[in-house]
Amino acid sequence: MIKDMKNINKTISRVLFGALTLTLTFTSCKKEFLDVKPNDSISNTQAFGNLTTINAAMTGVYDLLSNNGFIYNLILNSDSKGSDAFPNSTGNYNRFIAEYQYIETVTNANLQFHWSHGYRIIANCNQMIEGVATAPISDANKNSFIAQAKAIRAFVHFILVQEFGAKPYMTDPQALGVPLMLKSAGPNDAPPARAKVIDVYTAVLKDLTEAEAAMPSSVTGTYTLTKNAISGILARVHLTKGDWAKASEFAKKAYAGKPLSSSASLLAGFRAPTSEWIWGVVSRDDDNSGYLGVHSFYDPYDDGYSSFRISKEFFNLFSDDDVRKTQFKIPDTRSQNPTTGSVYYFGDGYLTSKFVFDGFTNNQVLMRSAEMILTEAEAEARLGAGSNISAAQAALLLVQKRANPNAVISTNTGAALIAEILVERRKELFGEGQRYFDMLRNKEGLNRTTSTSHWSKLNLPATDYRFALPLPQAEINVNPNLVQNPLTN
Amino acid sequence: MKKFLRNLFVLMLIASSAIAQDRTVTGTVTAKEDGLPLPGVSIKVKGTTTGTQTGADGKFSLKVSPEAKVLQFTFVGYTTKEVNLGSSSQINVVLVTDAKQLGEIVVVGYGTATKQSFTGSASVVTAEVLENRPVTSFEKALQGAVAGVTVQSVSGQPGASSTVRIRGVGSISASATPLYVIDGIPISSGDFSLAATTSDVLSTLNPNDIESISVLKDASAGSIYGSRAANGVILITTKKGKSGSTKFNTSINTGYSDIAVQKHQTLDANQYFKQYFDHYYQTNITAGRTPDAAALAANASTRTILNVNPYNTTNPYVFSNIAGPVLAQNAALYYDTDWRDAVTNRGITKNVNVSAQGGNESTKFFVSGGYFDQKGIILASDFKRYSSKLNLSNQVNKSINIGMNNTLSYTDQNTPAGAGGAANPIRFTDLLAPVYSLYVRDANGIPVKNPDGSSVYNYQNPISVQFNPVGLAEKDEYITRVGRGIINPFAEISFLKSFRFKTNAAVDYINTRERLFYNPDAGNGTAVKGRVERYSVQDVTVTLSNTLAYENKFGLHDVSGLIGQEAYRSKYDRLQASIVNLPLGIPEIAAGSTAGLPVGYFTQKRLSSYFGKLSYSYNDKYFLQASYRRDGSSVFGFENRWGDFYSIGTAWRISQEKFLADVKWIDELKVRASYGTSGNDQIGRYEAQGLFGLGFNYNGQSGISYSNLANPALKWEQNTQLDLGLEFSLFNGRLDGEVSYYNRAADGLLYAKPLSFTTGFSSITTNLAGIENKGFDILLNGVPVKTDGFEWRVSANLTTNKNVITKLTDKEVISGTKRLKVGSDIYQWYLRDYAGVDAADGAPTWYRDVLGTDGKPTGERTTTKVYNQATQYDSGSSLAKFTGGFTNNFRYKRFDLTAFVFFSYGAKVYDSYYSSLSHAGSINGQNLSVDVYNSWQKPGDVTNIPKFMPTNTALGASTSTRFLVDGSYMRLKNLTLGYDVDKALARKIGVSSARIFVGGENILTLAKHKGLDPEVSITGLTSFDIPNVQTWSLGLNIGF
Repeated sequence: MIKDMKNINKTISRVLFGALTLTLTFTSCKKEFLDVKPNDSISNTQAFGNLTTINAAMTGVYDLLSNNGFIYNLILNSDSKGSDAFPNSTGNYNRFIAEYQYIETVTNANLQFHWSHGYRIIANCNQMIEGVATAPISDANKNSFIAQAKAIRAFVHFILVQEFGAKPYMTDPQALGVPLMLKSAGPNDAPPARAKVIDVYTAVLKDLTEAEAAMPSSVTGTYTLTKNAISGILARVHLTKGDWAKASEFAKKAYAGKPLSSSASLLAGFRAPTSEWIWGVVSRDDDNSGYLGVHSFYDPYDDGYSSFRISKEFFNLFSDDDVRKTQFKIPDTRSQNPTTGSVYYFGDGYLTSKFVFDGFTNNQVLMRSAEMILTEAEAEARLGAGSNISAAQAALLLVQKRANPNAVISTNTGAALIAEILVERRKELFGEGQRYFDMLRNKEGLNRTTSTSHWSKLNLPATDYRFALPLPQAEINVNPNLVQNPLTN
Repeated sequence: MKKFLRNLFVLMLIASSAIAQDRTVTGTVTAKEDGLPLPGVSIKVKGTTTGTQTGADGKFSLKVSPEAKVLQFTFVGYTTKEVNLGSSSQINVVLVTDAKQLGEIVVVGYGTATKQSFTGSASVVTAEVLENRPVTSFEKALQGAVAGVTVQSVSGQPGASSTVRIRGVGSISASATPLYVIDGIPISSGDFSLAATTSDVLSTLNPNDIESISVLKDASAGSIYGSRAANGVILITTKKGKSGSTKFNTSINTGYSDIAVQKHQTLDANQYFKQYFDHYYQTNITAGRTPDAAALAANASTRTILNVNPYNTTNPYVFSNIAGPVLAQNAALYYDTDWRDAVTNRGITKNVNVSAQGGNESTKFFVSGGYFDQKGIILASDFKRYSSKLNLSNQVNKSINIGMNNTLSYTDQNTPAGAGGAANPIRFTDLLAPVYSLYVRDANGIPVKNPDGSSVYNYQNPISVQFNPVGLAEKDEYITRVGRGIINPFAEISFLKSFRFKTNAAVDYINTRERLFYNPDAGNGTAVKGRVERYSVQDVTVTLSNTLAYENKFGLHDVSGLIGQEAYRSKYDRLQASIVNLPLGIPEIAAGSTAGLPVGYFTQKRLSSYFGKLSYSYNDKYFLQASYRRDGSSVFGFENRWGDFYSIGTAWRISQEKFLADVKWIDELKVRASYGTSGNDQIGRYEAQGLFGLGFNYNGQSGISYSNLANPALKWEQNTQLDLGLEFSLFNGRLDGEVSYYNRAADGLLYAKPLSFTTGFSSITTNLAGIENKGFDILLNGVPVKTDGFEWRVSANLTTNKNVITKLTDKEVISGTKRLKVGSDIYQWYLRDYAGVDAADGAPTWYRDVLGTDGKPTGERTTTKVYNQATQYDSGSSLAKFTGGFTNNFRYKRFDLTAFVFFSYGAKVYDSYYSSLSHAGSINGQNLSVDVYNSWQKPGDVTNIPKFMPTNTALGASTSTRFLVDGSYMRLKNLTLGYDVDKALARKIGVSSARIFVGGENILTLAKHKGLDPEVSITGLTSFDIPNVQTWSLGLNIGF
């Protein structure tokens, strides 16, 4: 009995000892026990702690900028809203259909994403600009980072003010623009009101001018910003606000050292950089947007979304000896040269082989020399003096000659020259996201009524309310300081 | 040992019989329900201390003196029986389970309590509700079975998850899911899958292994679980062994499933083609063409816009002088595709369970193996579960008991693609018009054949280009395999009579492995020549708890208490890889050549807790219980890591009072009241920290981005609950029930407060809102008829809930189709209000506020045809006003019939499928509801359906109250007819018991709104889910 009792006590103490050991090992020191940190994030206080993390933060901004819903949809929205390239009436997954028909609702997801993601990029730029300012890195590095962050902040503001501003700058610079976010805002700050269009442009130009000046020319590359690319954005902004001299000046700076590539490159699928690419978005096997890239929507083989078509009227603008007309020939397989293919009118319009969708690794051009040369030509033509006219004609010929060896220098002047340049711009840049913004700044309006291709035969004067997107409902809901754009004429 | 005891007993018998004229009574005690012997029954000569217990075989033998008149048989859970001692020395007794709920033992937090002494609100569900149902997971069987609990199962996918809410929805942004505890160990719940549309980790548990489920509904019951109990606690107790000879049980059932509720009626191919044709015909007539020319042009336009011609002739419709435009004489359809039929098949369920339980005085065991196999009603949807259970305990000596509860299971689930993706077969079949062919056809309409004789699938259609759900079901894969082990060793030490120390160490190990394959030939994989993704998620939770319990009785005073400590750590570890370029079509990473960026990371959560509870009762009449818990959580901000939770509860058994002693019809009457607090920490694990997320890579460089705003003050939401209850049992157990009133007030609700997007964030997690849930839950059980051969039992429960937001920092929060604001509920619809069709032009209209000169609404409304201009209004709630269930159980001789009905009243749900079918021509090629025939045709038509026209831009199908419908419904959830084979007959075939049953699940649904399965998600939103199924099953249960 006594022995039994002893055994019981021994077992009890064993169990108790086990429980105690387990508990102590498990919880270790009480304070640390509750301290857990994620391993897929770092603390915001570490983000600008050294050059490595700052580099990563800069890369993060470019990654946000390359988001398909933002940058690719910017391009696809813009072309959908014009009359050259457009989504087919069926088999389109409802993508870019509201945009094409100008019926975006205030809850439209694409529209809301452009707004929310745009400001997300801007917020990360602000973090960058503020974080880098006091970071322990060299001044040269600081200049480069801050210049890129400011340029991206300006680029996004510039897009948003064109999309959501109540009127284009050239129509009414005093109209309501978009909120201007030039410093970090926290959850407790009052949400901002809309700045005037002119104030947004002033801030955009200030950012870009500072960025262009500070950006070291030693920084090169196609997929991140360079001094050339920042000049190119400046050229676009000046062109959009009608400052022709500056537009021409910065266009020239943008394409300096970036000569037009061969005419054969126009038939190479626009998926690998050529000598004239000034800025683009990279797409890699391990990092891409899948089916949501521009190339997928233009793919003529039904392997991508394959929903975009070319209108008959636009197709007819090209002369037969224009190499760009071959962009409407579809070879039997995508690896073949378009010259071996035939023209197909499929559904509501022509198919195009301009953008070859070959797997998911299709790099996207955002800016190339042809655009800048045409910007120079337009700006010079609009300046209108004799020397300007000849400069404009010469610049125009560069682009025309590349596409058509039979091209001769234009003899047009004045309005006729400007018109010729604008048509050339459409022919050269279709599918590259310029169309809608050109329509806005040139107060063109939209008339598809006589088209035999278009299934939404809109006729909108340039003053139509639909040329300003409604602000997203989700933003209106939380921001009482915003005034909505007009929702009818 | 056993032998020795028996010898000793025999020896004693011999010795005693030698000294007096006492006689010996022997017999067997069996249970009425299964006829099996009952071991451990106490037998006492009434009025004396003479007594014994039945042995493992249910037999007893007792020496009684000549004065003994009556024998008393008592056993926990059974009604005490008294038997008059006649001259017979052989007495066989049959004990009946105690029908009185109030006598039962309830499993509660860190222990058990008798129902009569418990001051909290807890409902118990027994094994018979859970066993042999054709559902993949136990919580699905709880729907309508427990007052105060709502369960919503939206998807008919085998293994799909369900939404469980106890006494309303008490959280906004944090999960409102209850805490699940199995045999004392909190376990993980939810959906861990990344490839499956829906997958429920609770479906790894075999419902047949469950002995009972306690649902802890109020603070007195739940507060002991502190920061995790705000939305209630579900305690699962698994089956344990009883001493006695080993008993085996085998059950087999098999069932067939079909869709439970027929969906909206849509146009067939003739009707669809004609719908477009008619429009173009009219347009051409209006333009001045002759009828023949108009018909010809309309044929051409229809072919063009639909990009198809399903007929054997180019111009199927002609003009007839008599009937206008009609189908030409020789025109016929090549096909009329019933897409729904093409993707559905009959579901099959097979369920086999084998268990054995038994043991002796010191060691007890329960062991089981289960196989569950369910093929869904949609192609490539199925679920298999292989499960095993071993519960073992050993009484080492009189103070130490050690043991282990083990669950090991493996599930294998296939789900077709879900949600809005083109590959979702439900979306595809719901949307695509029947004018498109399932197969590729030649010029004569004959399906083109593959070399193996099968038909070539057609992947061309305007809605989901490059997709065909039937073809893809054969090639693509979405496989989810989950292995789970819940291992729980424990040791208990009893000492100094009244103390018991228990230590529990449990591991809940979940390993999810998934593979997704897009074939290279069609569908999602075409552009990249095939794609494989592999996901591996490992979730390991370790819980360690030590408790010390005390229990003692001082005269009429019962005192018990418990103190304890618990530590919890959980780690979720994820790894995934993807690859493209798989020309060989082999669905494995190894077969690919171009890898994507792999993903890998883990998250952790830890809790450190201290708790105690105290119970006091006087004379089994007055009860007082209190609990306290202090929790530290890693989830919250530095400033608010630790929180305190408490509860206090009282009960008074009025029926024990003298003044009621003479009231014979009252068996039991008890009132109870409790009050207390609990918390909720179910949010992202790092919400309090300011973070830059990794993985924002670009151009091969590692990138980071601002991903979370810091909130160092973040803390749990606190739930304060008042519960008042009345429990009764009347007329000798013929009527019993429970009525509870609850009021749950949640404050400091974890809440993703929407921010202006200009901050770069869409929301920040804060503690800013308050919600109140109040209502009644009522349970009534009655036995209207009880004769020897026939018995009729009725059970009914009803739950009412009123959900009100009491506090919100913002004036209002509009998120999507809902608006949160003080005074309204959490799922308040906030929609543009459809105002019908303008009779002049057939355009849809919506209401909008009239604005005064000050720009503010005047209170008047007008209509607009511009959707963007329409004002959003409160449009009702997706929460039901009340839900409940009632069960009728009839037993006639060896037959029994159970019918269980669930009902839900007052929820408003959004029929998005109907809105898709109401596109009025805006999406050409998308199917149309037959209601298109009621659409506006000409000026003056009064209808609610706008004008149909191809390429419609009137936006009539945009989100509005047009598609908001009454979601009230009643459903015959379960109907079972069973037959118990006669014991004697059973023995003849070598078994101790046998039961045959047929059952039906979801066999009848009565809903106000037709065409939609009314069991939709709690938010009232519907999507392209696999519909719920009705199942007929046949089963056999054998004991031996």
